[in-house]
Amino acid sequence: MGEFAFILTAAGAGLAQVFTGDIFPMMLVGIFVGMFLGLVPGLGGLIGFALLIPFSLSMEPLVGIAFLLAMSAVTTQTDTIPAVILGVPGTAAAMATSLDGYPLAKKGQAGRALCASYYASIFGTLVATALFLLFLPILRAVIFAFGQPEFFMLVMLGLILAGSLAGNSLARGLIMAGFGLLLSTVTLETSTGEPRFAGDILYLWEGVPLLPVILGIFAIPEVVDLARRKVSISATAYDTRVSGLWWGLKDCIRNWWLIIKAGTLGTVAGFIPGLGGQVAEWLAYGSAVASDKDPSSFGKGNIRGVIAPEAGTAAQKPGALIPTITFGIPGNGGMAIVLGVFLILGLRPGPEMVTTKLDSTMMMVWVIVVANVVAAILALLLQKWLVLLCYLRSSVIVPLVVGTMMVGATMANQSFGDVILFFIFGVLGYVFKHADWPRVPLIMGLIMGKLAEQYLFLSTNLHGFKWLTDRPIVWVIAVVIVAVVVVPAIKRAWYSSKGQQGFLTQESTLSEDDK
Amino acid sequence: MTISKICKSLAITAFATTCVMGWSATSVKAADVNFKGKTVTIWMPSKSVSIRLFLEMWAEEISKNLPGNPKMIVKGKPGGGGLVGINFLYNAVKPDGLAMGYAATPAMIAYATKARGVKFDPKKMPVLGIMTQNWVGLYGKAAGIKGPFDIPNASGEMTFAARTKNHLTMTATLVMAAAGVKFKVVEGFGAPPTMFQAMSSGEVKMAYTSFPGYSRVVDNLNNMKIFPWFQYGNIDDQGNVTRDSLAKDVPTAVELFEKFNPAGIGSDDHKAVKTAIRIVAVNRTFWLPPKTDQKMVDAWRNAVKIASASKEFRAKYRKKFGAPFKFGNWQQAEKTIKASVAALDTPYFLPGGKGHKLMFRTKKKGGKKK
Repeated sequence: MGEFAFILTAAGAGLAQVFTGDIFPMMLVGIFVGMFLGLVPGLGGLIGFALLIPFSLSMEPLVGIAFLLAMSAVTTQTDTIPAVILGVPGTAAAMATSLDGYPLAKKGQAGRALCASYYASIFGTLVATALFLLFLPILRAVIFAFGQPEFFMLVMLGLILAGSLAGNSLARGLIMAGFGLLLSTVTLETSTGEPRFAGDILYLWEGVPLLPVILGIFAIPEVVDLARRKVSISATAYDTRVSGLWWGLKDCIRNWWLIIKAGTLGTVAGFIPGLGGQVAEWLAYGSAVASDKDPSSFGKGNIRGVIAPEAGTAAQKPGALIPTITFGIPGNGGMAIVLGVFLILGLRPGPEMVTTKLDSTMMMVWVIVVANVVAAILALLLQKWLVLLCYLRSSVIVPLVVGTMMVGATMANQSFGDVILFFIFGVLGYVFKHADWPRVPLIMGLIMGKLAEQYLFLSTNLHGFKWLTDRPIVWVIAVVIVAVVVVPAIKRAWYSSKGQQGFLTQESTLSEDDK
Repeated sequence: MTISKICKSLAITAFATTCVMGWSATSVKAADVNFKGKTVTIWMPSKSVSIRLFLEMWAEEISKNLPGNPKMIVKGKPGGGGLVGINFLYNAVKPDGLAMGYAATPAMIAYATKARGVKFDPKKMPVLGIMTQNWVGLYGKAAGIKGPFDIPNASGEMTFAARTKNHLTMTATLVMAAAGVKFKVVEGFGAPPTMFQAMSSGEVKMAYTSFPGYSRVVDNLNNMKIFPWFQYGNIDDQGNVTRDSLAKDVPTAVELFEKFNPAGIGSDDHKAVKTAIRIVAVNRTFWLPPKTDQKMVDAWRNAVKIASASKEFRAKYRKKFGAPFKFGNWQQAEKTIKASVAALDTPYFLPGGKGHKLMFRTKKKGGKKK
């Protein structure tokens, strides 16, 4: 009881620190910057982050940390905007959101989708904060219970979820995920030092770059279709009364239990080092599909398909902060950069961050929560103008999108190879879209492939094949993977036997504008 | 005046004019070492944020000592394990004194071993200096030892986490062999925090990290029951190895080898451990593109030397990165590189040699060995 009182006192002190004259203004600056970075595909995530770190170093340590965390926390708020309005995820963490968000925008419900995503992000971070407070005493046991085999299984779970949930065909989804895994094998193989499928092309020695692939495969098909149809993104007439403000909130309140589940999954995914935001979003999306009465409605504009991944991704941020500052083990790639900056600013990760300096730790967690709230308010204020993008004619929106995406694609390597890849995957993306082969699993395979290979390699190197038999957590995750594949098939069969339409036929999965 | 006299006069005049113009040109070149209003680019072959921060800090200091105090920017050119950046500097960057870059240890080892993808020749590039760095080996609770000198009493196989096989894993392997302990290098790990996590969960027993990486989080590591068991230390021209002043309690790899296997002193394995220290010393070498004018080179070398010796800069570096800034000027750099490359050019390290197998990646089956 005494310990719980101590935790609550530290939480209160941390919250008060957020609103001090030093920290709050710089936090606001970080929020504005982060919103811009998330909005422009290519700038969000690690790249824009790395560009702005030098500014944080000139500040007082806690102020600099608040600036960085606020910036990082809100990129996953605004990356939803291009995902919903254009069908192009601002970062890889918005892919699941785009599956249902973009169809909602086409139906004229972009405002509803965006508002629901903002509220879901806020509630997701609150869930993460509550879980952190509740489970603080057992954090260490949780983080160190996982080894390379468990990481491998979790990565495979994320991949299979993406393969099975994105699109209407499980087989196609898994095949595309496999294609993504194949692409991820193009690299300089570390254990032999030999280039693998890369030859002497140094550009490919670090692997196929992700950014030009994501932007090409999602953006080009959409802009080509818009240009072909010569219409705007939204097929409905603009309704000035509808901004989605209250509609999105009602959706979140109605789905409160989903938010708690998604937030919990996201927090746990964040706790576990090395998994990243992608696994969190797919675990959350998967839980929404699994618990829905009509799983076939996902991918066609089900608001739960927006709420769940947004809550999960947002919850993953405070979750990832915890192992970073308590053990110096980054929860994800962004936290690896944050950790480096923490060390330079003089913050020392360690147990005192959850004991004597718990108030500082809680200040950081609250920064993430408050930043999400402020970003949501700002985004809601801009909502009306953002949604108008859906009604711009294609001759305006197409060149804008192509130009922005192409610049974004070159942000990582600043190489002409990025432009070439952008267009190659743009063409492939167009073919996949119109042949109804889901693109999201391909991206997930590309992202997760390197991690999966690393963890599998280490698992067998360290444990031989005993990791398949001697580790209970591996079995649990294996059962979940099987369930993910088998349960939707059973549900489909059950719905079919009840006379309801299961997954729609291929023809009807094509949207109206593709016919 | 006869025609021949006119021609002779013209020839002399032409010759004299040429000499004057040539002299003037030389004088203009020498006087042209002025970076006022110019922008200098430092190319970094890495995406690391902390390296970028260091380079920006250092560039600011270098600029103060370059004539004209140019604006300095750092640009990334990552890829190919560092080869993209140094290849770019060698082949594509104009030798106008407005660009500088560096090669990290893996790129230099790739050059020394004539690995694939190497398209630069350090012999043709003016070196500006060398940054050296100490490294520490770590052990976790699962190792079951009480300290470095307790290693011979370890039971079971010692697993050592690493990104890839390299000179660091070679050192650990040789020391463990000297102690008579079964040892296995587990390649494939990512950054040091992933190794720390694996050590804490008991999956691996040992790992390594750079000295700055260790010193900044030493309390946290101790809390996770992770402690140092060796350091590389410093090596002088006579081959004497000493402990780093910031890690006086941590024995060097050479000390441990000599303690565990006194009969092995002077053996190829013993020499190889010392060679590893020389290689470790080549952490980052800084270069200008080939064919850079000598006056430019001299101006750069002077500026880099002064900047690196600046007490203010060193204090700032120490505060930000938790370790002293160790830098050798261009003469030391040339000597170190020459010594490192020569040390690798022995049967022990050539393909087929024991050191080669311990240090370099090789294909396991079929495929050519490096």
